[in-house]
Amino acid sequence: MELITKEPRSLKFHGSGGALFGILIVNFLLTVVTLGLYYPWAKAKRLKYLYAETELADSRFTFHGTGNEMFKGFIKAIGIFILIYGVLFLCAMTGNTAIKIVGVLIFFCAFIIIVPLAIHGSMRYRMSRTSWRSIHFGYRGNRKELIMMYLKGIFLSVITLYIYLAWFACDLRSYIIGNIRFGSISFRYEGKGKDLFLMNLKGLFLTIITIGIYSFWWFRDMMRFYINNIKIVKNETAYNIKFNGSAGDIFILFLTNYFLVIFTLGIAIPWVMVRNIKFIYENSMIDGEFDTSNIQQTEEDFKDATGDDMLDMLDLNII
Amino acid sequence: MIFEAAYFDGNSSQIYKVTAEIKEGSILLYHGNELMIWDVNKIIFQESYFNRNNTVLKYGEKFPYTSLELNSEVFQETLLKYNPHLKIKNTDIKFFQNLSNKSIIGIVVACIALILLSYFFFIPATAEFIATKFPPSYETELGEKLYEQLSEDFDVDEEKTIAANEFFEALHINSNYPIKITVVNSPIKNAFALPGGHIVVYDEILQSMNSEDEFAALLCHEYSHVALKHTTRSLFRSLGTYMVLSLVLTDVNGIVGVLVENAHNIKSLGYTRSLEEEADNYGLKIMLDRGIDPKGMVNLFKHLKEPQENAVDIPEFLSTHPLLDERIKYIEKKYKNKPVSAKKNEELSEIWKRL
Repeated sequence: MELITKEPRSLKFHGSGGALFGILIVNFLLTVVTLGLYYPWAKAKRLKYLYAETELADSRFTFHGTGNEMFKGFIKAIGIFILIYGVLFLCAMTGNTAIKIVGVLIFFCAFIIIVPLAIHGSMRYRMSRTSWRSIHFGYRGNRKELIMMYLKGIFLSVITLYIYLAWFACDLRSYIIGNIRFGSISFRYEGKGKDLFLMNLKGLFLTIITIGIYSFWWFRDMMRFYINNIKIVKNETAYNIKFNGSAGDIFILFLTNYFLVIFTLGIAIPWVMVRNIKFIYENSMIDGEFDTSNIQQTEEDFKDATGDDMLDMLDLNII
Repeated sequence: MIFEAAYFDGNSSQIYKVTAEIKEGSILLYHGNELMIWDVNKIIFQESYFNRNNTVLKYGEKFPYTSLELNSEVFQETLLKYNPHLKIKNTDIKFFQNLSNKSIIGIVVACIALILLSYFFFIPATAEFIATKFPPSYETELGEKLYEQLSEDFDVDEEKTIAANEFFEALHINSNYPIKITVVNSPIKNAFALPGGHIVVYDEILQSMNSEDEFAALLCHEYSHVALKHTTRSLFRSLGTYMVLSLVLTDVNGIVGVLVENAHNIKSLGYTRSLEEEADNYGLKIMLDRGIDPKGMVNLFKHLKEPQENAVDIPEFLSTHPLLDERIKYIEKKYKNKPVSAKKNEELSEIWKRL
């Protein structure tokens, strides 16, 4: 029999679908009425709620970002997109074929470079604005390094017909996760490209021959690959995290979520979000005894939300 | 009033169990024999969720801040009772947590009504308004660019193009737009208008016509698209609707998204058809004003009806043009009520011979 230890093994979520529904519906109405300008404040409200209802060792997380900060970022991000599209449009209007080609090239290059820029900015902002027991998270990645890694990854992925994508994804994750700090705690990602590639190959193959049934096992493997490869490093000791969800659990979760959304025409989405968060929290456990009482404050304050808003506009989800 | 709380000094995650006493202007924090005094005016109140039993307060002048975490449903209430000048922004989620299913359904129905209202009335009206205010010179410029793009693949029939333009001039239509007609060799039986004045006629449709009246009908119809700003109007309309739809659908799952998108496509087809009908009517009016036999339009549709290779029978609700039988019917109905002096226009027939 397992002893009940006082040390935390996992995150807990206290939020409810009803409360989240309330927040999202008000957000939605205000966003529509203001033709989208309310978006940054809506996002701040949503994140504050989700963080405030997340608990580790009896203490809640706090999201310190504000609508005003994110609005500034939002305006800058819109400006950048208008600039990129504007250049393309002007080049297209000249009617000169050479200029048109240059315009399209600039457009694509801008879009390729904007992604790592946005990831970098977003990580710095999000991490700095997150705290637990007053200890702030932080991101120490280097913008240039990330851009170079990204360009190399895109290039190699394209010339290897996307086979390199698995290695690229692992490099990116280990760079990003490796640069996250939670006060004096750091993280490491140990997933290997080869393993991810083989896992996806197997997953794809078996999903096709089982007409989709295997996809739940594949999804479980992906979750395991993502979560089990994250190591929490404290005082030079690495702690493992384990994902315990089974394919059956995932199947039931997906199936019920699916029917909830379909039969309520999407109204049940907040409840589904809460179910998903709870599922992930409950099934991700820290292996071993992890002392949360002596984490030291180490990170600085960072308030520029441009990258975070840019990432939203690109509709990318990195974490 | 006294509360049990956890205090964090901002340097480490060490918990200091404290008792917090709320006074006017300050909160006193007792930890063993130590006493800390928080000035309530230096507490950084973040947007919080009222009525939630967990509160985290942030305190200090600069990063890193100290904080206090407590589990009490009455803490904020008490703090405000002693310090009514404090402004705490609250989102009262209990209101939503306690809502009955009936009220939730009510809210949802109201939201849906609002969306439908803006989708069916507000957006189209705004788009139409902007489109009518859109200067013709911009339209012409836009049309010119579009034409340049398209014309790269055109096999233009120069002689017929000249004749067609003379034909249009002979119709004596005063227009804000510089109308330029191009005749293109192509096996497709079609013609279309670009915003701002370009009209492209495929030779195949010319070959199928029997009289100048039909060509006049075709030009009047296409000219109406230009004069009534049809392309510009639909452009603004789809832009506006697209913006609203993407706003509405950001959080909605794939299946609902696909359903809404298809419904929207079918509705836009309806709009395109209403524009075609508008162009038919306006074109017919131009013809009648110039004493051109309106039968030309009916005959034109009849020719278009003739079987074309690889043509597909599309049910009307999926088609962009009103079905030709329908069009013939409503055109015949329109001009039957009007006395027509269908005299031959010599000038037009002369030019027609060259086409």
